[in-house]
Amino acid sequence: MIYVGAIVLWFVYFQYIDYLFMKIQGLGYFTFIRSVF
Amino acid sequence: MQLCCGGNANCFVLGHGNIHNIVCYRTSQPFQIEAGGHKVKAIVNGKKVWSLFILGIIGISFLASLLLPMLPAQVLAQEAAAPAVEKAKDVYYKTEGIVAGSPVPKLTAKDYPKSGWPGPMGESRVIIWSVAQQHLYFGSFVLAVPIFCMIIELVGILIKDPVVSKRYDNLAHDFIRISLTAYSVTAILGGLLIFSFITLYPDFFRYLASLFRPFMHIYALLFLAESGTLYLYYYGWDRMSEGFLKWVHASLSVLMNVFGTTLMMLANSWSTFMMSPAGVDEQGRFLGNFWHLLHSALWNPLNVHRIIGNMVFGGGIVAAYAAYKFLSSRTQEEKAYYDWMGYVSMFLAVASLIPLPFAGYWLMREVYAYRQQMGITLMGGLLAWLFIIQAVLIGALFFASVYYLFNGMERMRGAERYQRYIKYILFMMTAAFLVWLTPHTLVMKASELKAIGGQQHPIIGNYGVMSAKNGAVNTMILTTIIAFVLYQRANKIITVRWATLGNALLVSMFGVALVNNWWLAIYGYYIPANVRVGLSVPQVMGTLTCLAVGCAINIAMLRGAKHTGPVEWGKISVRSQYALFALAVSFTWLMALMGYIRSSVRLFWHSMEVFRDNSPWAFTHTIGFAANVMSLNVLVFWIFCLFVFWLGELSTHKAVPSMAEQKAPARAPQPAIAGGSE
Repeated sequence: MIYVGAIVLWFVYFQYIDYLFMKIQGLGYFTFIRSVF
Repeated sequence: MQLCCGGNANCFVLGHGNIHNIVCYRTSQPFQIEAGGHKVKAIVNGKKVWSLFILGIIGISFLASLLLPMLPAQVLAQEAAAPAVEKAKDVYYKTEGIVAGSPVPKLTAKDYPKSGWPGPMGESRVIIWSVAQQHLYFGSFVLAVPIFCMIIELVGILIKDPVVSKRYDNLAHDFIRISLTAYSVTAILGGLLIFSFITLYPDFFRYLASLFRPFMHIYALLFLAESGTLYLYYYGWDRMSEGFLKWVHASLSVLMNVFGTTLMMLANSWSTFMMSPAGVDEQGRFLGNFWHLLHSALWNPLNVHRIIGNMVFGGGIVAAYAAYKFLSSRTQEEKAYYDWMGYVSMFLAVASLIPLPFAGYWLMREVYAYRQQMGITLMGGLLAWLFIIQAVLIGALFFASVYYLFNGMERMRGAERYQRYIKYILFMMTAAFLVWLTPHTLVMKASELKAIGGQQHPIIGNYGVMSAKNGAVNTMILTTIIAFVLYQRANKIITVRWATLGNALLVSMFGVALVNNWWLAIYGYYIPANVRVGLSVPQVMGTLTCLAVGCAINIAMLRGAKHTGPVEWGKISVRSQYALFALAVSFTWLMALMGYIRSSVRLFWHSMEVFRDNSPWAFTHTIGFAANVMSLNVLVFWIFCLFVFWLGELSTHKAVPSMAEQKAPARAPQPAIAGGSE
């Protein structure tokens, strides 16, 4: 259980980092996701 | 105060309050004295403050002196402009300035003197190339070693255990001794380089000197200042070994590094002026602004890249020295000491290596921003194949580092618990390495082209793009960090209550970071190239998070850990020492390779788009020829290096410090600082 919690924590953290830096560079995180799927 | 060894005793203040436990430096015997605790503490703190104050004054005076050339800049420009004011536009800053210099000379092939030497050395460019490379090698080494000395000496001062503290102090002393001979060689090679420029490229050198004249004067003065500080630092080591003087000595190392780094930055400005000129108009005429001249587009990226690169290189050379000494050691004590020295050097080199690719990315990004064509020539055109060789060498560095770390675990009992992870780490590194070195396009015969079905292989061709390579290099770095985390744990059993939580945080962090890194790498295939570049930033941030947070969690978990045995320094395989050599030689080769790439990207320009190179050698050599010259330079450098190592050995007569773990006496608390006695 503790591992699941840790994975969720880091997943949220790394995705936030991705979102933040994409936003700073004007890339648009969700636009990218839509373009893939 | 009471002394145990007379007036010259080197003693450590250990206690608090009115009773002080003193450890005699020579006999290691503890004894006690009474003194006013607060008074001693106040004096010690006062000494630190004074040391820092003096350092600050020197630093401010030095920085103020740097601003001096900016002052006459305007005056010179006004004087020159007095008779007839002519204005022109800066080629880079696009600002208007008063013309204060001559245009670049129009040269023909006849204006370039020839050395008349047989073979490839008849080409003036090859002579300059080789001499500059040797000068740069030694220059990098003597700039990097003082940075290590500064760090190691400070660590020695701050470490509470007097035996370990002395060991670090000795290590810093050994480092600076090696660099002392290298310093002289650097100066000689610098002189040789100037003579080569004056005799082989007189017009170009005259032009460059006319622009950078004030900086060249400062350069010479800084060289004097650095030499003076270096000699004071080295020869004053024993005299300034305690109390206030020890802090002054440590401050000298800071000062030496300020001089050295500024020196390097000035020399960098000449190189970057050749790549991305600024401060002149399109005819190459100086416009009176020295800051523009200095601060060209690539100056700061190159400064950062070179500082980090020098540290990697310096660490590699000292690690090779330690390996050389380890292999030639006859006693177990010597083997133990040089094994430890090799480990510390390797650690410093790899710690510097991790941020190096990011500094490289910044430099490349600025190159693309300055002239896109330059970036394409470098990474997608004429010089692109050299980047494949670079990838192989960088991969070799990571492999050698991880190989050394796992060999280093042999020194520790209990490390066998982690042996089973080696195969996974090796697999990940190999997979990442293969992606990392896959070229985008291959040079092929018509039949090969037909067999593959095009210029790119249908499957592995996909790994040739930057998106895959960003993912691969971050995977290699993350794997190296994982290997280091395991190394730190090798002889320890974690006892903290939150061990399960800590392990969960660490494992999941590396796992999620790797998956995120691969996800971003795959993502890159779906978006245009100019947008894809931006994805490297979150990838880097993920890796840096793992480096900082991962190591911090690991260190916190190791607090109060149970030791399965001491580190048995000297009990490491001989193979590991060859890994250190491989590391150092790879660094040397990389420097030769990347230096050539950086310089040859100018193609037929002395100074990009301002001063044309009309010499008979203004062409780009074949990759084979360039690789031979680079390899020859590497060979010559290592012959020089062996000479320097041998010279350093001639002056070594003192015994190496003991690496046996010594515990402080039961009653004696840990020392507050290294202090004197009165």
